[in-house]
Amino acid sequence: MKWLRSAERAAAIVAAALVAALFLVLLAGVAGRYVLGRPLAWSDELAVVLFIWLVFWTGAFVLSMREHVAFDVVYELLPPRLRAVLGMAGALCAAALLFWALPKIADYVAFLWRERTPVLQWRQDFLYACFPAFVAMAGLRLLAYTAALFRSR
Amino acid sequence: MSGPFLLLVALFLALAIARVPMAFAMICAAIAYLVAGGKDVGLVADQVLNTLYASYVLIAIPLFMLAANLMNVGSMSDRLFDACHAFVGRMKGGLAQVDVLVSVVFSSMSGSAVADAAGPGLVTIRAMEKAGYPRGFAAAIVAASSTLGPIIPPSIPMVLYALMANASLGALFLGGVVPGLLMAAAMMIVVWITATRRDFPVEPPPAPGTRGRIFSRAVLPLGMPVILLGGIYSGAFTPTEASAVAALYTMLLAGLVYRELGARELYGVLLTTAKQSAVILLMICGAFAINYCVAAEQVDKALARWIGGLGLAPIAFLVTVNVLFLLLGALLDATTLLLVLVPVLLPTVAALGIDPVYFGVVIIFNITIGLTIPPHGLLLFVLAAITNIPLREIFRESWGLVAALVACLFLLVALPDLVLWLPRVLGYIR
Repeated sequence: MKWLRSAERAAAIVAAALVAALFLVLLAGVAGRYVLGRPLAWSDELAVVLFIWLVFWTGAFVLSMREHVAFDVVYELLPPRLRAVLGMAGALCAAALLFWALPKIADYVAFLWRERTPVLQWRQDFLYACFPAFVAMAGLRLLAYTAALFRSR
Repeated sequence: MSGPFLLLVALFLALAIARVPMAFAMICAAIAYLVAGGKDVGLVADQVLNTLYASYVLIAIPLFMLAANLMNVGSMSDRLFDACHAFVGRMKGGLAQVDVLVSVVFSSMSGSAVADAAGPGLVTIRAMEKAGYPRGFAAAIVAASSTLGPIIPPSIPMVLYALMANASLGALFLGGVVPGLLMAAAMMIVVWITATRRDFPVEPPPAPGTRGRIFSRAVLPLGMPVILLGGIYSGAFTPTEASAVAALYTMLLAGLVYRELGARELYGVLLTTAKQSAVILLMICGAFAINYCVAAEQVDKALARWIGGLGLAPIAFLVTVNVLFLLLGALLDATTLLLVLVPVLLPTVAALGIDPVYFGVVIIFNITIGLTIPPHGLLLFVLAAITNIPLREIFRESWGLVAALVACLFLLVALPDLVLWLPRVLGYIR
């Protein structure tokens, strides 16, 4: 699984780069207004694009299941066997719903191909493509988590 | 309430109990609602993406996190600690008083309680352990004082609330100032009483002639809240831009002035920021999906009508809501409470004529106290994890501080002017 580890590292570098880019674009907007004396038309729009990609890219390819916020008050109280069964059932159910919705979500995003962002004129479907990718990866991660629970049972 | 909506609630609870991450549980519950109601599932994407696209103010969240993470890389926490030490160290229970003051200062630079606990909080816990304080007490005071983070501006929960309630972020930030100082005073009194009763040590005064040097070492970090809040209130920057400028200032300070920020540290800070932001923002996306369903069912409006029909006085409503949220806060995660339950209450708040800025400050205060209440208090767990102090010892020491914070909360409920005075004086609300 060496390729998987390199892919994960590359994904993490992209996530860090997105934060850096977001930071620089916002500063460019401020600099445009105060240093150049005219507001940059594109900086706010580019910041929103980077922001959306930051959220879903990191959610899809960087965050592991453990790193999310979860409600474990009840879960921790259950006996280990029941815990594993419940965990597997919940994760499978969530994965099923995500994969059920995925084609419709992809459809919705693809349908936006004619829309363009106001300033940069970027295609809206490309901009939003990170969301179906996130839904698919979330489903896959839930399946991998189920498999891990099954093996450790 | 329709069948599909009951399915949403049941599925959300079931998935949450099965330990499916909250963000996924919310999105899945919304999907189930749409499927069961025969609606287009693509609406999930529509709601999540277009609301996120339109929420420019949310971009401040990763930048506030970036600034706080940069502060925590280098010696800035130590510098602030030393300055506060020279200031209040000689009071009874010196180091614990120092901790409260450090939290006040750090809260004016960061908007999250966890960043406060993990940064300057850790510095004070180590110093207190070395000075012979009971370690449970050390962690308890740090957990309690970290709750200042989201109350004294800037504040990440207030950014979220401003978006949901369509309230002025500038007014919310100002509304947190007096309550924050009130909390700090209450905690310092509790510390003083505890320290006198148990004879905690007093710190030695700084060596003669060093006081000036200690304060000058802290001057540059103290410039950050001036830039951040001065920038917002002078109208020079939007809150989002101000967060970026504050991060730049911290980066220059850590990188060029103090030379504590190498490429490796910078990469670590950026990656941590990406992860922390994605965790909270994915929950926000889930909440957008759920809130769409709540609005489609008009649950919030039905609640407002029902409560309106009871003829409840605003004060009775506020007391009930606050008691309810304190109980729920012991069970549910703070972000979930803020993102899912607060929007349901907003139409009722409006119908009862309660100022949305006031309600926002009070409810964020309430939810933040929940971070220190066992068994679910997030701050207690964060501190137990990074210091290896057993939770049991922290719980035993924290109840007096929690009681003081709850007393402050109900003082705010009784006297709304404590929140509204400052925004009103500065012309943010009528």
